[in-house]
Amino acid sequence: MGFVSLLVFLPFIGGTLIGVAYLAHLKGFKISQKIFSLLAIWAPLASAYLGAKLFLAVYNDPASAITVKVFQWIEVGDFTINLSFYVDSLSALMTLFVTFIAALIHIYSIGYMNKDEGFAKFFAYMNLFLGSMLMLVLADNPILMFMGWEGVGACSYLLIAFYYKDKANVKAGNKAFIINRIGDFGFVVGMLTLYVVVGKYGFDFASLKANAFLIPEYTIWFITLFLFVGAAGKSAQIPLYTWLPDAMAGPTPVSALIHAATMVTAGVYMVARFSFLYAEVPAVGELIAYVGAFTALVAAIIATKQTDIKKILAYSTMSQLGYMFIAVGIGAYSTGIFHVFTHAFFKALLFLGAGAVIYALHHEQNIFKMNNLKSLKIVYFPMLIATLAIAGIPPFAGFFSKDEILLNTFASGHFLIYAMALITAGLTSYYMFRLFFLTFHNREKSHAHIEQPPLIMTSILVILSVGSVFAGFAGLPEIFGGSNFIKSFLSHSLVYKAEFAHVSHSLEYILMALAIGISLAGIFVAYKRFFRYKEQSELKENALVVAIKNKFFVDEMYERAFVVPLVNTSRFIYGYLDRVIIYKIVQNSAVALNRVSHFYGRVFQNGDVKWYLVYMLGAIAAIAIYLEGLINV
Amino acid sequence: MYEFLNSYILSFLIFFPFITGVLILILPISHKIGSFFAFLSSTIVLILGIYLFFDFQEISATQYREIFPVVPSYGINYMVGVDGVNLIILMIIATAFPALHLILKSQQKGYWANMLLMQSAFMAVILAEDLIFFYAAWEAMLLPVFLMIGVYGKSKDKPKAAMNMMYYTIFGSMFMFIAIVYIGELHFEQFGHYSFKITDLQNIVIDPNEAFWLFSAFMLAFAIKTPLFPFHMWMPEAYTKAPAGVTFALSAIASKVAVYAILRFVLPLFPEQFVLHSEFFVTLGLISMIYFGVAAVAQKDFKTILAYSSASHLGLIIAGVFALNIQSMVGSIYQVIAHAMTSGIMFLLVAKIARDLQTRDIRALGGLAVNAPIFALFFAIAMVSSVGLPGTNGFIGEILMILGLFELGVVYGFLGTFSIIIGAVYMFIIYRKAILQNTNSLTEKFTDLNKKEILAFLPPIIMIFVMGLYPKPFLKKIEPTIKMQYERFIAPNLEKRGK
Repeated sequence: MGFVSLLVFLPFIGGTLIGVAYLAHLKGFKISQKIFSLLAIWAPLASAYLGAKLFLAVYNDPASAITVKVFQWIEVGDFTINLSFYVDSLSALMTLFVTFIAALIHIYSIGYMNKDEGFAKFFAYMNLFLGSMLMLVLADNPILMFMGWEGVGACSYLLIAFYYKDKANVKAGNKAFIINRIGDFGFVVGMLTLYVVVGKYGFDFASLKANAFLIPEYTIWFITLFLFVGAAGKSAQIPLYTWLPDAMAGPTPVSALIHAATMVTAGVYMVARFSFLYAEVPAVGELIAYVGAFTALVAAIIATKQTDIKKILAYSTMSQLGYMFIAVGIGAYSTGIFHVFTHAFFKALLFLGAGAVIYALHHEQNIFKMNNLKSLKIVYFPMLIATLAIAGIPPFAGFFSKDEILLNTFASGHFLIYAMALITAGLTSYYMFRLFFLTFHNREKSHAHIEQPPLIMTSILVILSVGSVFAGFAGLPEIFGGSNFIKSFLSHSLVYKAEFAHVSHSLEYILMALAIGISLAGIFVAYKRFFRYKEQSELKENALVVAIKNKFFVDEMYERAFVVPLVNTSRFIYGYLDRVIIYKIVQNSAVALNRVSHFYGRVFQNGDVKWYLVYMLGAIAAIAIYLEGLINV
Repeated sequence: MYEFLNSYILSFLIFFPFITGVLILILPISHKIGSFFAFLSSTIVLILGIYLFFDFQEISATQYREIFPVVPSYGINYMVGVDGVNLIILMIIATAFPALHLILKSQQKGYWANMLLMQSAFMAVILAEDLIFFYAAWEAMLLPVFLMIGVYGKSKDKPKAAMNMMYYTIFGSMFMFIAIVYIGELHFEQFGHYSFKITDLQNIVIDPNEAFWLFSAFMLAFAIKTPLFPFHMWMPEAYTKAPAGVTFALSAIASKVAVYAILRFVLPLFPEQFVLHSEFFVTLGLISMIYFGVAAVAQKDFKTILAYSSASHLGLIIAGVFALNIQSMVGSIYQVIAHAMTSGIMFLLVAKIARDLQTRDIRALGGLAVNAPIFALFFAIAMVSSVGLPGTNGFIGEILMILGLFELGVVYGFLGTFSIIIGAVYMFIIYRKAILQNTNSLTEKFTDLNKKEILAFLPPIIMIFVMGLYPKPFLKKIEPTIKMQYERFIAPNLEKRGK
């Protein structure tokens, strides 16, 4: 298993190499784009190969978890942290699809970023991102996980602010980084509290799992709640979600890889990784499930009125992440990870398809201004498959995982959450098909020239289409004659304690039909409204629509509630507290001292700097003479 | 030769820069030759520093000790020595100065001579094991700083800044001096002879009431030097008005010397008081961290932001020193090194901005990265270390300190964790406004670092990652000393703390 460390380190090496090459390139040592392309993809490809190899090894022996120690990282007193990797069924599955999708997106990006002046810089960041993501997934302890966690955040910042000459992009990057830092605050508080309680007996996941019983219940509450703050920041859950829609400022492949398929699901992964703690406190889980349900619903509502193709997809990501948190919240951890898995395929496909659309239309992102793109079959069909998948239409990938979430929510007795999730499902198929029809069907004829996306991009769409069709079969439920491979595979890594009522097969069919029916209804409404839509915008405007279009003014509220007060406090400290209050106190004490020693003051404090120097030299001379006197004694 | 070197290496590190500095000042040599000799001198110090670092044994005992009686009747000695903690700070002082010659453009031999005097004083302060010698060096540290702000500072009201700093620090050290003399007197009463050796003074018995006042006098001097809230009034002015070399020395070294002096003198002399009042200073440190961090957010002068940022970091470092466990104390020392590198790099990069563009107002900047990608990259690396990104040395120190604060109490840990948010806020805002975004008519002529400058910055840039990814060699040097101090001075007093 020694190759695990290679798997993680290769993208870091690749990123550093291409970064150095890029700097050399900037300084006059010209390197062609072909060489940069090779430098860009060798590491992700090698990682994908090793990722598959790793998965196969674990697939053959899913019960055994292996730790690969590289070296001892930090050791102070009893605080010992290794740089080592933990391979079990959970991390192996994550590694498999993260490396696979990352490799595909790297290849796609060679076409998408063609002739961009930051071509090499882009791949340096993407490689570093992949390395960090793998470190996050394969980390053997929370501190190392945090290293990956922060690494992906930093790369996300760099890629959002990629076109940094534009102020809006850099602001979006800052917003992402700072809001994530607020989440990280929770992560650190939870993680270090955990250390203080049981870390002395070993701070790797295996030891923590074994010693979790030593932690008092209220401490688990505290730890899990704060860890979830971290997860909410990274996975864009309410109230820490506002950065994700803005993060679409980055190039589209970034949105596909980081802000859809991999990084944003890290929060879900983290909760699953800590399932041995979350399983002990169902009430915290319930809270998470409600946050997830609420996020899923609100994001879906906002998505119905957006006009930017990438923004819609961003809100849909947020909404799908909400589903995942419902699953892990109610204790169905493997179901949450199953949705992470299928979502990675169809959401990456949606973004890469959107990227192809944007490429074809010369950077047009408003779906109401898009031409009739039906003729572009190589984009049309993959996008249709992905849209069906996210809408939850069988047999596409999203159906199985989403249905499992709905079923488990129902079986766990959380009917309110179930209802919210069901409504979200209807909204999802509505806004996704609204996007689809407006992009591909609304015009009679195309007006502008359509730029044909190159093969290197479209071939990736085809590969991901296959995944979006078949990924769901990895968790084929029992009633379709499957054995739910994902669930049994992950059962070796996760801890289940939640109780799910038995649902009879007939009830399961009814629930399934209900979900499919609602999804179809959403598609039908979208079809009615937008299949032949001709206008350049949506016409109906009332107060509610305005509120939804403006994302319920949450950004503005945050600005008023947090940003403005912080800046004002800062000005108050510097302008008033420091310069007036404390300065006056100090000055007045000095004046008071001066008055006490009035005579001294009159003679010496004449305000002429050179005299002070004279006094000081005099004083030094006096001390020197005094000391000399002592020596002579 | 080898043995001679080994027995007098510390004196050499202290006096060689001093003698060279004085010679450069008084000999009638040109500015160019003077600057060259200053560079040569600091390079020799660096080589010796590296030798010392590798020759140092990883044990808790003090090594290379030199004692030479100065005033025997009053027990005043010239006494110096190295342990795991000041070795690290010695390395900072030794490495920082040669690099400055490649970066700062001053052609004045007086400038470089003063820098050498400063280096000499820094070395003396951190190596001193005799309180009187320590005090003399402590004050000597101030003189070159004062002169340089007055002579080479750029702003109109620089005399005010220089005087403010003098008043503040002399005010603090005055009380410290009284306390030192008093302790010497106590030693005379209890043992029949005077001594100011730190090793002797640890043995005297001090009445708790007296100890409190003595402890406070020492802490006042160090709180001003650090600076801690609310003893910081001199800091923004002095940092901002000083020439680049001085700001660099104040932030990267002088502030750290105060932290070090707390561990070297206050802890061994007043262990009970140290433990008893630890929570007060942890709180003060945390308040400083948040207060200065928030103050940095809305500043317009790049250098003032870095000054507040530096003070904010030092607040957390002080909190770590007083958190009463090994992790936090080791973390504080580690952060001392990390912060010396990151803040040093950032101050020097800002010095380049000020020199090339004649302004530090971030509203006038923007788009520096367009023409200066390596400049932007180096600043970004220092910045992410400053905000504690894992993989950089800033993270190791920060996580150890925060962990230690959690072990002291959840509330302290909780407050300490705010440092990971507050630093990111002001740092990323200023990076956006000054270095990213688009160029304007002023910044479009900004040029990238030249080869010499890249060469000077590269070692600390690489060290940021080396120390972040493989901190072990450094931790191994620091830990034994801290562990010994913990077991000797802190652990026995923990029970008396009444908790």
